[in-house]
Amino acid sequence: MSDLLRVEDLVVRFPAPGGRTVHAVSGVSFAVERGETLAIVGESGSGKSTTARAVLRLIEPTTGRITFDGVEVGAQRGKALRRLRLRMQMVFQDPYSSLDPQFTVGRSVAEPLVVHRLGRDRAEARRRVDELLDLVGLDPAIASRYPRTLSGGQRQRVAIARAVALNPDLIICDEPVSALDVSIQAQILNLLMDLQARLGLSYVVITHDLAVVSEISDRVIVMYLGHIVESGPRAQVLGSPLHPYTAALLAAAQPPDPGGAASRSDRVVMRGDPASPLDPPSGCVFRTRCPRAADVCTNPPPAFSDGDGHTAWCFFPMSQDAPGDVAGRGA
Amino acid sequence: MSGSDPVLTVEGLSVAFTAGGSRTRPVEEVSFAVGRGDRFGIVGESGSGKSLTLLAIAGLVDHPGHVAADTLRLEDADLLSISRSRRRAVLGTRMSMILQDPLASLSPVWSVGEQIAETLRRHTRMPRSAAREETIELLAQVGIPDPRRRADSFPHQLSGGMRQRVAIAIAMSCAPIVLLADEPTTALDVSIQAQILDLLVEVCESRGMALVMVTHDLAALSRAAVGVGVMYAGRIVESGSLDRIRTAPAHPYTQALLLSAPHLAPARARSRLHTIPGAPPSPDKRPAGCPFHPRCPYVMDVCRTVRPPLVPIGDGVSAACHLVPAVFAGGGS
Repeated sequence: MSDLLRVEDLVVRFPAPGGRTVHAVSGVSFAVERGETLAIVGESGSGKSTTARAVLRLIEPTTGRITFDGVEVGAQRGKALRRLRLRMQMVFQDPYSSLDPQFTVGRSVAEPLVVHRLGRDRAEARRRVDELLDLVGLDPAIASRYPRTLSGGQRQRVAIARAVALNPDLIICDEPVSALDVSIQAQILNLLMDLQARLGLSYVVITHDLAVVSEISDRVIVMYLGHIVESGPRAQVLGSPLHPYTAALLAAAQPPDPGGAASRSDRVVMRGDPASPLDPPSGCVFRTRCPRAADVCTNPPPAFSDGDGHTAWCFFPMSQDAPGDVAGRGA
Repeated sequence: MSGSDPVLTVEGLSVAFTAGGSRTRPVEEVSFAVGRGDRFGIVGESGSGKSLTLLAIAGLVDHPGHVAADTLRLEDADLLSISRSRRRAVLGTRMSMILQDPLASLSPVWSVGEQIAETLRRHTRMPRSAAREETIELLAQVGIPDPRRRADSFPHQLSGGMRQRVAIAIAMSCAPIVLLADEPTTALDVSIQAQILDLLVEVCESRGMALVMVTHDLAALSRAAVGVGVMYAGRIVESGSLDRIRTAPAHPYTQALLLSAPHLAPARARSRLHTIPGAPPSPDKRPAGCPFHPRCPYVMDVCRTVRPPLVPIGDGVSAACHLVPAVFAGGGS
């Protein structure tokens, strides 16, 4: 088993007012290999961030099993859990809110070393901070400055320096470039890829942005309303999507190409808004917005695979013919 | 950039702020014109001055901001010289605006129907019952299902996409000639973004309304706009047709921006992205000469001292770069 992280049948539900239940994550399974980047794609309410938080045990899963390097995360307590968490770090979307405004950059980066008692003495901690800042492409002189005096890109570099300070095996990046200017996004994505090559890191990148997925991931999971609807290698999922939801996301992300070869018949347009996680549809959760939905979609969708570990859970995957009678579609 | 007479003309628009004895000019000498039904996008990064440009056109820059322009005209109305109250009337009826976050621009205590009807009655003196019917018609036009019932909903009861549809309905209510949109889809999910952009295009086409949309998002831009102005450090550095600029960008900044943006290219192997070194300058620290020169791979001596003017380089494209006219004059294309 060379998987660094394995998530099996994860379910997360939250109580909601009125005795109702938010079905945030419903039976999600996936694995992350050493040194690979897994992208989790989804819109708001898809459960992608909840999944990440459950992996770090920032929230308790309702049911399911999460194994990190062979150790079951849910069974760890106290010191053992802290030791495990050293090896899993997180980078957030907004470095404004993830860095303490009252700490200098140097103190922010040194904090994890101090908390986990990894710096022997002050001088050693300072050396390590300089080393980390240099590693993320910042001038170590920046250590004495405060976050508000830095640009968004510099702040995200500081957040990344903090995350790699403890030599983790896995970094979960939650929308790592969404808050950054276009010309800065490429710099940060390159930095993440460079660090991966140098330090052998694994990443779980959570994002809504398919272009970012295309640039940095090895494998992709597409989530909708708490379920994985499609998973597989990047080139297959983005290049020949099987699930109508993935196809619709791709169509929405790509502008209509004036002289392009993209075939119009493949364009899937989503109707309406996502259903509520308080009251997810029965069967396929996407069926209320799916142009290919038929009556059968009220049942749990079957797995359809075209090989290479590329799978979608759908009655009418894109490589197959759509249900013949368009007028007969359900929902 | 339009063949027909422009409905909105902006020439030499600048916005200055004076605070504590220091003066900054976040927007400098911006010029463009849009004709009836044109869809013009202004794209730029944070601090480029794109949103402030839009606010200045709408007359929403308040003290201590100072707006100056050679021309700022909506059809025959000179927006620089009209009174504040006249300007308010213009902003309600002939020009309207939608913002990034409709939750912030809608009132939480009124139903959406009341808010649309209020706009109609304020600007057209329509009787209450007629305003109600017109409201329902507008909600239907912006794709709100079951508009008669939805008119009684409050903003917090609607999804982000529905709220933005309501904001568009309010903006359309008095049949403006020009619709200003500031990052109208940035707060929305990808699938909803596409719906809202398509709706904007549809209402502009069906009503002959011109759209001026500000965005940082190149995908959103390509979905909604036909013409584009690329802003950098307070200035338009390149403008022209979007198709042309997307396929053959002339200004080094536009070239670098298009190259460095993450691309959806599943067939290509994972590789490093092209980057622009450094970061955009803040408005109070803009470099002399061409503001892009510290990050430009083609920088020449003249770029450090002389600000390049925005000049036509053929094919309806204008660019502000010392190098570009020479290249295009020599190369043709």
